[in-house]
Amino acid sequence: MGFRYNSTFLLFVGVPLLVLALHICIGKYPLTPTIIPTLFIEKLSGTSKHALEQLVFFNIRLPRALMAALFGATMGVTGAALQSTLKNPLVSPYILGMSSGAAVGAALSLAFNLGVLSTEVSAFMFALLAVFLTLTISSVRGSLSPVSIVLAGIIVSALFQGVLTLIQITARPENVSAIISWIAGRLNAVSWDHVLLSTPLALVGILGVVLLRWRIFVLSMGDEEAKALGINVGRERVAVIVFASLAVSSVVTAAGIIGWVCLIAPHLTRLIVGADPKKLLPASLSLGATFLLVADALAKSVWRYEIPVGVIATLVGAPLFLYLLRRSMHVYGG
Amino acid sequence: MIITVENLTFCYDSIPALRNVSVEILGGELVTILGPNGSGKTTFLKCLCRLLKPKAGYIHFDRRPIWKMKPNRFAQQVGYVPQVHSPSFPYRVIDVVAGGRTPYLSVLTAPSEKDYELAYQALEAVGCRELAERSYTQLSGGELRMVLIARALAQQPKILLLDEPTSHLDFKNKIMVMRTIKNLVEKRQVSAVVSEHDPNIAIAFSDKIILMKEGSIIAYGKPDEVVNEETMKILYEMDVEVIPLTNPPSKFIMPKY
Repeated sequence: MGFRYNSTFLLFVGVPLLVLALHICIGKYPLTPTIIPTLFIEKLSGTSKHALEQLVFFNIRLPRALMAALFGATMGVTGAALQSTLKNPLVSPYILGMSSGAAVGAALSLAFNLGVLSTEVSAFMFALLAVFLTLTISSVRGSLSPVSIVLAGIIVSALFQGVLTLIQITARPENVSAIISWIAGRLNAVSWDHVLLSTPLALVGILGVVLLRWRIFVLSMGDEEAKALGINVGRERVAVIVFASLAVSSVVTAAGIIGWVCLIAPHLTRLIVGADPKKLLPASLSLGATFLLVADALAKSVWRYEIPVGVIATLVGAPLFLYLLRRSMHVYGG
Repeated sequence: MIITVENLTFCYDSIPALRNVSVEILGGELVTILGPNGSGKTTFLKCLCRLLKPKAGYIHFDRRPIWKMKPNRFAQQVGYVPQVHSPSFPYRVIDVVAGGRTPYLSVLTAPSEKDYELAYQALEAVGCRELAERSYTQLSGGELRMVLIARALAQQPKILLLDEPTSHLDFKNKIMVMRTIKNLVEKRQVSAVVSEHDPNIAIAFSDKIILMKEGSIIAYGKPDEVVNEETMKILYEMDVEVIPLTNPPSKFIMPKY
């Protein structure tokens, strides 16, 4: 038992760290993993024998790798949490309307140079606005049941998609391409500012969701049973959604809308560790980070120029998801 | 624990499902609710476990109004086994049973080793310890029912509410489930309120039977007092023959085809 537990632990902590190191070393300017400790020592002691390597490592590779890991971890853990909370294995955080909301917020700022609001702040506010609308609509008559939340989310997403199209039609062409590339995700343009801005909220959201792991498990038993087990269903479901939304909105704001991690990570986790209510969330977090680091490493290395990571995530994610669903179809009554 | 129900009325939108139901259920009794489809059995059970809030009347457990209790305190007293459970994810059986420990946990904690020990004991009590590591999506109907009963037991309740625990089960499993419930009532002095469709099962296992029709209680008492040709005729609007049994003395209800 102890050995198994340790090997699982190693797998879910060691592999992402290894992939993180590899991710940092991959790129146009080659870095070897062994130089990384040297760079840290030089940075701390203020010497600069490897000035160029330092520049590449600290200013470009490290923030990008951290952002990719943070994004993947956030989407993995919130995807798993929301699938359980909403009792639906096909739910992703985006179903709550966050992605469309963020896109509209960013588009408004990019198209009309709002000035007062930076793109990031605008995207973040609109992402949360969309979730707020979703919860409001579903609480009016649906009493926050899973189905009513998913339906409300779809309605809100569609609404914001419409607004997004309207903005794109009315915006100037050069702004439109900025909007499109914002939406496609841009880990390649991530700076320390992005990392520092999104990390605190993402960590708060992740921590909240992980701490609520047992409530999330009980919520997946269905509303009546959760109630009979003493859970305040509406309030605790909203708590999970609020934590998840904070985390997702903050990373989406920094890196754009990258899909599939949120579906792949929880399903892969269930295949590897089973649906263990205590391990599911931490393991999904780790797998999410790993998946996105791998996808982003591919994005920057497979072609002469960079492919947006969102495209790679989709190209790898869609077939992988199909495979995972086929493997677990009998579980969901297919 | 004494359950006192007085003038309970419940409506779905404006359609009444329970009308002025009054009944008193004593501790350590197995009480079966017998009645045709749509007679209000499930509604009654759901009112008892606070899943539905009645429009009028009140329910007291040991003279305390149930709606004044905190949700987790209430769930420490009352275990509920639903009629249908659709499994969502392939959880291990023991984790599902440990779900019954939820009312004793604070919001941010998961069950401890001790909670899992109690969950194992609950599985043991329904005779299903060997299922602990299985995925609960791969259980048979009878096994799943036992696991859900074990989860309710892990709540260490004083009252067990079971909504048609024998539905969809085969001939033998129906008896197994009812025997388990009867056993728990006798050993642990819990009260159990069970809804049931088969009068013969009700007669065989109940201390008392409630006959319910169109949202009202038409009779309440010991099985041999309330089940006879006339009451069955009123309840099901069908002629039956009551066949006396000698060993042990009981009776068997046979529909007239």
